[in-house]
Amino acid sequence: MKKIDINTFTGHWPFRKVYHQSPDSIRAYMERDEVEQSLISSFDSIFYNDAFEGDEDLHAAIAGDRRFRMVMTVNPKVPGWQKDLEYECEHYNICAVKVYPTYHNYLLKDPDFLELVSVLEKKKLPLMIALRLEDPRFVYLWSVGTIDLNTIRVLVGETTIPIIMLHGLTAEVQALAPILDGKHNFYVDTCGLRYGVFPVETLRKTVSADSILYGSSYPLLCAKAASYVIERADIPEEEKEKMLYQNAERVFNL
Amino acid sequence: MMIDAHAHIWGPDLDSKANRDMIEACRRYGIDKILISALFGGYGPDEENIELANTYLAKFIDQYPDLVRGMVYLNPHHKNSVDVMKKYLENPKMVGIKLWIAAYADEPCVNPIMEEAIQQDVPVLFHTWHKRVGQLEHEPDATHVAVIAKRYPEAKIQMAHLGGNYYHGIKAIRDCPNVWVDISGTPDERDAVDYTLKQLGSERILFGTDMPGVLLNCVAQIDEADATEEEKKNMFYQNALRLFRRLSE
Amino acid sequence: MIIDVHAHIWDSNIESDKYREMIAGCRRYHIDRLLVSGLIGGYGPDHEDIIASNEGVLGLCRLYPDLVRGMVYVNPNHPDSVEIIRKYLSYPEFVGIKLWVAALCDDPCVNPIVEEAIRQDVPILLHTWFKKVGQLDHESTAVHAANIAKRYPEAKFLMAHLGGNYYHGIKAIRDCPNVWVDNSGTPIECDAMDYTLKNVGSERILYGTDLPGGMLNCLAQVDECSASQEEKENIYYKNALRLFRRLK
Repeated sequence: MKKIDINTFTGHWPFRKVYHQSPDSIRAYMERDEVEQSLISSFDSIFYNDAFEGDEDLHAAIAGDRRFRMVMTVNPKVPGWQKDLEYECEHYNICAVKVYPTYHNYLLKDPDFLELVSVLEKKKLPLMIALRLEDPRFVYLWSVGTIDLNTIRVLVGETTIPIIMLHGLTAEVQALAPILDGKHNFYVDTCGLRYGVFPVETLRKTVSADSILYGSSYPLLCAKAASYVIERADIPEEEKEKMLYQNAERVFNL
Repeated sequence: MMIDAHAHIWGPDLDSKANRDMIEACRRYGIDKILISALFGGYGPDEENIELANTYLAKFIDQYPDLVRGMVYLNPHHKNSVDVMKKYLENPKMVGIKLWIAAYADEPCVNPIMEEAIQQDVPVLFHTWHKRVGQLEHEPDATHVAVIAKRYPEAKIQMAHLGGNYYHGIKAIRDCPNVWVDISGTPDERDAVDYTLKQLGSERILFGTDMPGVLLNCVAQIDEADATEEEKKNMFYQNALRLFRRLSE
Repeated sequence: MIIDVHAHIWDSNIESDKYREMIAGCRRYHIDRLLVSGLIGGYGPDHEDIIASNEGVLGLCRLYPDLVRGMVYVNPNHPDSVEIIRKYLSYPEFVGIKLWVAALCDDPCVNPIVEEAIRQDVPILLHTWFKKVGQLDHESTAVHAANIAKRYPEAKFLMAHLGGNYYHGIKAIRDCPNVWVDNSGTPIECDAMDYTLKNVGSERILYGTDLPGGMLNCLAQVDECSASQEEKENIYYKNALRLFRRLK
């Protein structure tokens, strides 16, 4: 089935050898799994002091390939991102901004983060919040924090831009079901729905089909793990199409 | 064909939503056999918990005789564990032994269980996880499994969850030819199976899920691995048929 | 030609081996001007420390008149800081003002100092460091430097140590045309200079060392960066000559 993957990466992941991190590997996955477009961000940008320098490399690596739309990585705790954001809007045609509060060590009530939210409101750009990149039991060399789901609830209540929570586990998505109702501007991807036999079917009892987006975290996680929970679920085909690509087209104006 | 070498029931309500989903998932996704252990009684089950667990497991097998096979659950600290083992292995649909976190895998109290397993030629499934945070007391990791595997080279050992963290677990046991690994649970990183294939080859890797906790990411991991069709068949069922003598009887 | 815009004395014993070595280093490596401030009295100097600092620097300027120039050191919390500036800027040996860690550089108590610097057209050297560990109580970062620079666009600021952590500091001030940076001290990473060049260009970077604390590393950074000869000349002395009116 046709898909848009809203959560892919390329670049270099520092803690282990990721076998399929090159843009060509991502393209191969997209062809294999009928992914027509992927929203891609850079591993390097997460770990570099200056995220923009990772984004420069990402842009060079995918330049001209219309199957990719670039997602900018911002660490609002490092000064100067405002001008970088202007630049990436103008030159890189970014369709969203991705943040990693657990890696960059700030809370969602941090004034610098809230400044980012208000800038995105002016630009009408969606914000992706990565709850995690790895299972905390796996983390090598240093431990990362967690995000209090209540602060996400508060944020969604206070902003008009789409907020997309990435890599939420099944229970975390379940806990936020009241704002995943298709009315709030709040969405989740599917790469963290690993717990449960029929996670999407179960979630669908309380979560709107308009609020779930296919996102894999590939090449960190299995792309098929994120697509199977939709494709192989016993739900109406129209709902699968929403989750696999239609919602993404709407939320990111693709 | 698919054999899920690692799944559970967690309580005596055999008709629970979780159990029904598990059976439904096997039908829907083409899982032909599912090897289940009953983990009643928390981290340190008493003798009664163990008795109940295996009794209900036998009932569950009877409900789905074409699909479900059993792994006898034991607490190695119990003096009667070998007796329990003998009793339940009389049921030919009980195909192996399951140990969880009541004791480390290499504690002396595990020895009699290993010796009986060798006698009866059934594999022993060890839970393993090596965790950055949240390691439980007495929770074995792959280094414990390597010790017991070397102590009993004739025993057949199934190490769960690729050792939890495969970067810790796989190299710990790669030189133990009597240790197989299953991919069940949440070591769900894209490269976990490819890494394991590289280190162990396809003949020592078993498909497993940890249902009803986890399922589709385990299927995805093998589907998506850089493996040949033959290697995938090994993982999905051929290795299980070779390892579990009783699956072919 | 090389002008080192960032060096110190830490006590009044200006004829001690430490300072002789500093001067010998300048001679050996062909440093033509050395801008020195006195930092006597620790993180929160009192009035006497301030006087001793500036008198020590004046003494050093007079010992090595061909080489040393002074930066007036003040504690912005002192009510007489503007008077101190006026007094020492009346000596032609002094070419600018130095603030360290007695107050954040965007604290209101700094305003009169900046206003006096504008009147006299001398730059203010601001210590800055953004630290993962060990940030001092009133230690400014580049964010504070940007605040005061925007408050006083006519003033000229020299932000020390590339902001300490250049990844934090450089983008914080890149839109402040009245902030120059020096590479003194220990932001020693190989890419520090190239990163700064990429973001603010060669005309806002000045060579400095933090002598007698360190030296050759700072020289190596400029020598080894991927700048053109012309850009390196900007960094080594041309920018300093443009920024410090009194050096001419």
